[in-house]
Amino acid sequence: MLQKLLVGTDTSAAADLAVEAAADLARAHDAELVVLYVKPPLDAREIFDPAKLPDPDGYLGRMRERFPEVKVRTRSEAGDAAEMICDVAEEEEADAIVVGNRGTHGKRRWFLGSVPNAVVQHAPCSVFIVDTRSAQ
Amino acid sequence: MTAVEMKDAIARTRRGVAAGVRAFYARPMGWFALLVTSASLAYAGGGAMFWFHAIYRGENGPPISDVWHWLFDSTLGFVGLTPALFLILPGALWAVDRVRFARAKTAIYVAVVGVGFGVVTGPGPFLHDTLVGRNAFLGRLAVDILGRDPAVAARAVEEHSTLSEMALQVVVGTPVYVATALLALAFVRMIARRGARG
Repeated sequence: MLQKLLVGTDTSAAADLAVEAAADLARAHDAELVVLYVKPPLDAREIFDPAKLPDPDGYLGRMRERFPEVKVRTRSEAGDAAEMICDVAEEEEADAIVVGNRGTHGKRRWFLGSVPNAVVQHAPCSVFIVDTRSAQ
Repeated sequence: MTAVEMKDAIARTRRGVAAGVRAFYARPMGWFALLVTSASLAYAGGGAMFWFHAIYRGENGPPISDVWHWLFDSTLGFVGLTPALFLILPGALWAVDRVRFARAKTAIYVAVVGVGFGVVTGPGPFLHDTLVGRNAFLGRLAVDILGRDPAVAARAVEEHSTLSEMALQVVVGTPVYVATALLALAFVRMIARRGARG
């Protein structure tokens, strides 16, 4: 029985597909949904292209409005995405983590490592991987 | 702090630095900034420092034309110092990340890049005289390949201590590199804005 789900997002379109899938899952199980934004340790856009920086407060603030029938809570943390998702899942005693599959293939995985792969390896609970390739 | 705690702290710091560097270069913008900044510092900033060392101070160098000399030194600088900039740029962004005032971010970024680059070029005059000085192997090779410039060969070489050359490289070079880093940042931002519009 799923009572609490945690979904990780960087506010990108691909991650948003994972958030939608997590909301569907939470609705189906009448579970609480925790939406977690993790600010990366360094983001080159901060100095070179500030206009393209994500707006996590605005994004997270719209969650209740977007999923009115789901009990949603939001959190914002900074650090390594995979490490933070696993830490928060443990702290929240989540029954499952939902993440998109961005970074599981291609050059991004080769250079950056893959957030979903790392979450699968270190998660303290079940992990649900959402296919987000249509938005990548 | 015990030895185990120290080892743990070092391992955590190393992981943090690696994660920061990976995050900086996660976007093509990071690589583009590295290329533009490195080329600007090596060729534009390096051009100013070439004038200062070779022409104004009359320091030791191969008797080749000034243009070839500038290109030769700057290319060596570009190749040799890009790995240092690979770490300096994420370091500058790390410093920016700790500043609250938006207007100070640009100043902090160019200051860290300029000072960092100025410091790593400190040993430059020593390496230059050792590797590409008038009687060094690469210096002779440059003359063989690029040809001797009689006007430069006739120019008097002024003797300076290596230490004073290195100190001047840092003292004079740092403001030059800060200004050049600002120009490089402006160029990267302009390209980023054009990309967003296109």
